[in-house]
Amino acid sequence: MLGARPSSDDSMTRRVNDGDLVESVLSNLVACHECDLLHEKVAIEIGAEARCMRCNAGLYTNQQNSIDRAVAVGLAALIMFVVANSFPFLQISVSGNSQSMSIISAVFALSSEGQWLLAVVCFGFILLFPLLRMVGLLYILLPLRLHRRLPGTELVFRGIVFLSPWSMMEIYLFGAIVALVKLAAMANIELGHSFWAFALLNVLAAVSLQMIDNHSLWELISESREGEESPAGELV
Amino acid sequence: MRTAAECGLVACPACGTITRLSVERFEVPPKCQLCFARLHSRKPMSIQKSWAWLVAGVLAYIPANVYPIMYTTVFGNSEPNTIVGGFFVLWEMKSYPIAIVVFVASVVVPVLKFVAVSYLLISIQRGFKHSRYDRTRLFRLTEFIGRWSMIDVFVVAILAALVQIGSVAQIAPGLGATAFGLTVIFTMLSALALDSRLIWDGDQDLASVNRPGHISGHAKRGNNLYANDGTPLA
Ligand SMILES: [Zn+2]
Ligand SMILES: [Zn+2]
Repeated sequence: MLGARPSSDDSMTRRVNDGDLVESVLSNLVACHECDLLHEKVAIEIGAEARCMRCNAGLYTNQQNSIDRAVAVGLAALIMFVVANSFPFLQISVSGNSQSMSIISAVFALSSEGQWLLAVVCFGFILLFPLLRMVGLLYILLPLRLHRRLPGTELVFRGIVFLSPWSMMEIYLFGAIVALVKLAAMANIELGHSFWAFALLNVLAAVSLQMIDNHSLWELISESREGEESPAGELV
Repeated sequence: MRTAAECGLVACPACGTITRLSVERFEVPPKCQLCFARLHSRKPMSIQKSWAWLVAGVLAYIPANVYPIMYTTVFGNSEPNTIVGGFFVLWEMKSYPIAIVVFVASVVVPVLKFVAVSYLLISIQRGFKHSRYDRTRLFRLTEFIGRWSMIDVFVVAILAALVQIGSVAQIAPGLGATAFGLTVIFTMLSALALDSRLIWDGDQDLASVNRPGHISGHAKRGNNLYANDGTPLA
């Protein structure tokens, strides 16, 4: 981690104008993503988060980035995703008649009644986008574990960042709870295996995405990029 | 020399890497050298795009309230349910906490979001100098809670999937659900298009390069920042 460097306006200008030192100075700076204020990076203790002086937005964290743990949790989340989509989610029974639904049934229910536009969007929010994010993270992390980098890593990374507001599994989970309460008075509702798997999936997915911060991830990817070049050079 | 833009620098929106903007080195728009994301000092056409999505959101909110979000059929009697009607049903059932959740998600949040984003946009266009910090917090709140309004749509989808019990009871989604879903999506796009850095442009209060504060629980804006060993940072 970079230490605190006393710097004034003058010294920064001088360094930045000095060709070779440009990159090292820039890598020691961080701009607030919410107000654009420049900060000099200082070392912070593990588990702490540096915040913007002006608007209090989070700037960077110093967490123990463990690829192994992130990969393990990511794989567990992926397995839970399969489990959550393989069993009944909720079951209802009213006077002898019973009916069950899986997670994707909600999408089909919308499309069967002509709300196909909404059905397509919900399919993305509940299933496709969360899945793409989980698979994307593993696509980056698994090769990184072997100090490698697959093609399209940049695109996948930007995709994960771009999709984050549109991945709504946790909202769907709360929607199911609201639906349960609505029906509880008039019918007998049972939670299926899927419900618990889905709840666990939400926790795992959130944890795996938070285990490595974006900037450290890129430091690791850059290192693997340098590692890729040297063996190729030896062969030639 | 205080913000990245004033120093001729730009931070990558995806990975945070700082790049120096220079005419000879980059194509237009420049791209991050690490992750190849497009770099913009400020999001292009931020105000115009944000207004456009907001207006679309307000327009979609009208059919969302006029048309039923779902139809409930019990023993052959079909009944349309509107957003506000769903709240009253829950209230009469004495499910007060859930009734409040539904009311907040489907009425309070969308309306507050319309008002909040409009206020933020007007404040940027008029160049307000006061309460930049509070406006940033309002922006964060808007960004955070906006997507939770989708809960209403998911409830309708789940009810429609589950309540298909032959002649006893059936629930089907209505056009109002699609309109409401579009309201949520449009207002999310409006908040995403809005560049919060515009709120701070023109701020003259701070010295050149600042060091970040720490999360130790008492990190506040201003000069009362301390490192973990207790030494003042600013
Ligand atoms: Zn800031
Ligand atoms: Zn980048």
